[in-house]
Amino acid sequence: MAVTELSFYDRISDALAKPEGQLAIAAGARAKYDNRARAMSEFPNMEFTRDRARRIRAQTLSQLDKFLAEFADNVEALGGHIFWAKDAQECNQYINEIARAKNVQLVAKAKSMLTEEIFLNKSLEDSGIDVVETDLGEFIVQLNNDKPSHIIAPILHMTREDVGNVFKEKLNVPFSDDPATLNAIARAHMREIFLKADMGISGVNFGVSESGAICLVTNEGNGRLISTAPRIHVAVMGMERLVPTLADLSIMLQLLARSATGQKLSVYSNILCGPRRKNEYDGPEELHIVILDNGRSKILGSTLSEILYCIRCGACLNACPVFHSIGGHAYGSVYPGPVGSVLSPLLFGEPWNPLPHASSLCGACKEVCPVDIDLPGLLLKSRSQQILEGKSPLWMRLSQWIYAITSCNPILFRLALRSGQVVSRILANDGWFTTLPGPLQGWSIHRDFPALAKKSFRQLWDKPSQD
Amino acid sequence: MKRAHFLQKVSSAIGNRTLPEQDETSTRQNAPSTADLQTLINKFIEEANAVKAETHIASDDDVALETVKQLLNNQTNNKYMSWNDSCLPIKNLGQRLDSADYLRYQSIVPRDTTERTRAHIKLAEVSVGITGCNAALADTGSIVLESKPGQGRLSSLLPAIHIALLTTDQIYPTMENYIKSQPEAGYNSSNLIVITGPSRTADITQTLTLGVHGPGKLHIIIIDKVDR
Ligand code: SF4
Repeated sequence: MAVTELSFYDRISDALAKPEGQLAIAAGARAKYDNRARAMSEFPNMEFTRDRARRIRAQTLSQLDKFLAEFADNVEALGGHIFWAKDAQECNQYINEIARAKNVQLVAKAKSMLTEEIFLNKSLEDSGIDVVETDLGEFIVQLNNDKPSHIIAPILHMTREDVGNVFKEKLNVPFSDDPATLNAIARAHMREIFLKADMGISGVNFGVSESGAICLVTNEGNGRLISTAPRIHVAVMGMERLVPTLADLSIMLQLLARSATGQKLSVYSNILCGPRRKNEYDGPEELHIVILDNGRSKILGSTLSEILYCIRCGACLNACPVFHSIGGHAYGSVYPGPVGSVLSPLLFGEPWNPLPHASSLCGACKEVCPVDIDLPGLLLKSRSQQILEGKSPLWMRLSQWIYAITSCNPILFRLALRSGQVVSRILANDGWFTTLPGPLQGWSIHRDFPALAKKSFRQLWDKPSQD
Repeated sequence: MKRAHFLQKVSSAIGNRTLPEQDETSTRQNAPSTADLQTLINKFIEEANAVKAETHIASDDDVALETVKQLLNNQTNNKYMSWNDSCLPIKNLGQRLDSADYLRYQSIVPRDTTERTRAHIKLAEVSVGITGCNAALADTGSIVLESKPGQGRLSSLLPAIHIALLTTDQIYPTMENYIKSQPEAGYNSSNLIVITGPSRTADITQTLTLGVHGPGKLHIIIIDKVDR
C-alpha cells in the first residue's frame, strides 16, 4: 500500500474539522451497533454459537495448509482454475493476463476489500480495461474518486445531499436526495453493465474446503449478477478465508449477517460450486479463484495470528469510540477501526505503526466480535512489539528510557518526586493543573490534570501524620 | 507462485504459530428442532414477512395458478421467464399460462460470447421470473434454490418481481438442519442460493431501499402438499 503524504495525526485533525461527516459517521455506526445488539440478543444460544465459530476459525487456521490443498483439489475437480499468488503484483498480473487472453473490455466488480488492498482496479484500468464497481456504496465511491470509509458501509461518511450532488454531477441527472430515487438511478445505470460485462470480479466471504465452493454474501444482488452473467468469474480470496465444511459455513453466515447489519441472514448467501455445468441454463463458463497470501503467512506465524480469525463483519468499527470520532478515512488504510489498527501495520508496514496507539483499550470491540478476537490484547501486543523492535517514536523511547533510569534509582526517584511536588505547589490551582506546559497543552484544553499530593505515600509511611 | 511453495510457506508459519484454542473441538450441537409442520409453516411466514417477502397460501395447484395469474396481471406486459415446467410444483404451468396469453421467454443463455450478451439484453425486458424452490428455512424466512438443469439462476435474479413456488414439505427449521438432512445440496449444481427477502441496500444514510440489483419484490406462494 502506498504511503499517504499526511501523517496519521494530520488525517485525524482533518476528520475532526468536518463536523457533518463526523456526525454522519457516528450516527451510522451507532445505528449499526444497535441493530447488531438487537439481532444478537434474539439469537438462541448466542454465546455458544460464538464459541463454536471461534473454534471453527481456530481449527481452520491451525491446519490451513491441509484445508487449502483440499479446497484447491475440489475446485479443480469441478473445472475451476486455482492461482496461488504470493503478493498483490502476482495476483494483479494473473488477472490482467486472463483479461488480455480472453479479450475482456468491461469488468463488473462486487465489493471486495481485498481487491482494494491490492489496487486491482487501478492495475486493470492501466491496461485499458473498464472496471465498474456495482455495489451501490462502492459505485458512489468510484464516481466520486473517493475511498470507502467502512468495510461494510463504504459511504458511511456521506450525507444524502452529498450523494445527490455526486449523481447530479457525474451522471447528469436532476438533483435528488431521496435514497429510493437515487437507488433507481443506480439500478438503471448498472443494468447494462451487468448484461454486457465480459468478466465479473469478486472477493470471497468464505471458501468451503470439503466441496470447493466459495460463498459470496450480498444484500443488493450484485454479487449474484457478476457471478452469473459475465462469461468469466474471477474471485480473489485471502488465504485465511476458509471453513472446513458446509455446516461450518452455515454458522458463519448467521453470525456474519447478525454482526454486520443485524439481519438474520443477508439477502443473498450465494454458494458457488465451480463454473456452469453441462445442461445448466446460465452461469459463467470459466471460474478462476486466486488464493492470495500478501503478508498473511507472515501474520500466521506471528504472535498476532489471532487477527486472521476475522470474518470482516465491521462490528468492531461500529463499536469503537475512536472510529465514531475520526471515521474510516483517518486510518489511511482499507481496514480501519480496531481490526484495521492491528492488521494495517502487519500488512502495510511501518507508516501504519501509529494506528494501534489510537485506542483507549475500552474493550467494546472484543465484546462485539463474533469470533471473540481479543482486539485490545492484540493492540497492546502490537504496541509492545514496536517498542521491542525499537520502532516507537523518539519522544516515547526517550521518555521511557528516562523513566526506567529514574525508577531504578531511589535517590533519583525521590528527587523527581520532590521536584514534582515543588512544581505542583507553584503552578497548580487548588490541586489541579488547568494548563500543562509545551506539547502536553492539547491534553489540558478540555480537562484538568491532578497535581501531586502534598505528601507522597512514602513520606506518609515514614512519618505518620500527627493529626 | 507454485502451489507447493505457497503451501510450504503456510505450513512453516503454522509450525511456530500461537493460536488460541486450536486443539479443542466442540462436540456440542444446537438442540434439534422438533416443531410440527404447522408451527414450521407459521414461523416461515412470520420470518419471510419480517424481511418484506410477500407470502400467499394456496391449498392446491389450481389456487396457486390463480395467484400466479393475478400477480402477472398487475404487470404492464405479459412476458415472464421461468424454470422448466418439470422443475415446478404446478403441473404444466407453461401450457396453462400460454393458453391464458402469457409469453414465456426462453432463459437458456447461449455459451457463445455475442449470443450470450444478446440473450441477456432480451431477458432484461422481462419483469417477472417464476421459480420453484429446493428448500425453505423457517427460522430465517429464506428460500433455497439450486441451479440444476432446468432451474436457471436468472429467473430469480434479473426480473423486478420474483415469484417462488414452495411446497409445505420443503420447509426445514434451520439452515444447519437443512444441510444435515440434504448434504448433497452443496454439490448438486454450480450454484446454491439462499434468498432471504427482496434485494435491498441501506448504503445511503442507513435508509432501507428495496430492489437494488435483484428483484425488489419477492412473492412466495406456499402450496399445501403434505402428502407428496
Ligand atoms: S475483528 Fe471481529 S468484529 Fe472486527 S471485523 Fe473482524 S470479525 Fe468483525
